[in-house]
Amino acid sequence: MKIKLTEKQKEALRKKMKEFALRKLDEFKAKSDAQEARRNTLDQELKNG
Amino acid sequence: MAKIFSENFESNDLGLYNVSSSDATITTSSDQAHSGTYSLKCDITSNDGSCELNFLGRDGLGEFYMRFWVYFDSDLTDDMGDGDSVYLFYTFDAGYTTSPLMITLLDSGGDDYIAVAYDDWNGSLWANLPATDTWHCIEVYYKQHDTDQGEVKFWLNGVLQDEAIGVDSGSAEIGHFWFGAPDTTSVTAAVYLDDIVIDSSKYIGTGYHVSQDGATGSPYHT
Repeated sequence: MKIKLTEKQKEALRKKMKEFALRKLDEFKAKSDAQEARRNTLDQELKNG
Repeated sequence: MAKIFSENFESNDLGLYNVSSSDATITTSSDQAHSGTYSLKCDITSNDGSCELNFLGRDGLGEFYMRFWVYFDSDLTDDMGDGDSVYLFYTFDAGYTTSPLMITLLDSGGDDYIAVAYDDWNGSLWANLPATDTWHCIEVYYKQHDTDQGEVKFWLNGVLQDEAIGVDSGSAEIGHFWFGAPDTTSVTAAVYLDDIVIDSSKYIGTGYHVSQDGATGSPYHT
């Protein structure tokens, strides 16, 4: 079965992915510098919409 | 054959896992079970609730078969409207930069589907959502490749639904796995998971129950 999502739908789903990753990084307290950097990048991307 | 992970929740103990929840509860439960007495119950009690158990994929997992049984009650599909989703399975690479593989129940245009998404939703495989209030078997084969040699296959109740061969299936191997209801929108309902198996090289199918290893007639092991 082929379902074509619009780019707008895909972007909405990717935004949820980023929100999920941000929650997990916050939950794990971003234990490494790399995780902290990724957390900050995701936070900024989501703020920028 | 190399079994990487299996869980049937018959220990009635989630202590081995990182477990978290928000506006939801995650427990072992005897309300429903695909085999034995217990399954994993993910009860979403408020809109946008989430609950999941997590484990880490060693140094990164780039190829595997994964199979689990899922039971969702009709309240779930009754609540879902266009664009709403209930994730059953989520992954990220070790650095949280990409989500190579996800499985979600999704309402698109008023119709409900199971979607297996790969490479940050750049690709996806689909099936119509089957009947509620009964158990269904979901199996996925995933082979990570970041240009054109990736593969993703999706079986529902032992029947191949869709496949993507020779594709970009994701830019990194999987480092983190979450099962349960790790992300939801606009539903209050319960989802149950049972008999989860991940194997590095072999199709698992519908017949095998976790703990059947070596049993006569176990179709996966023999």
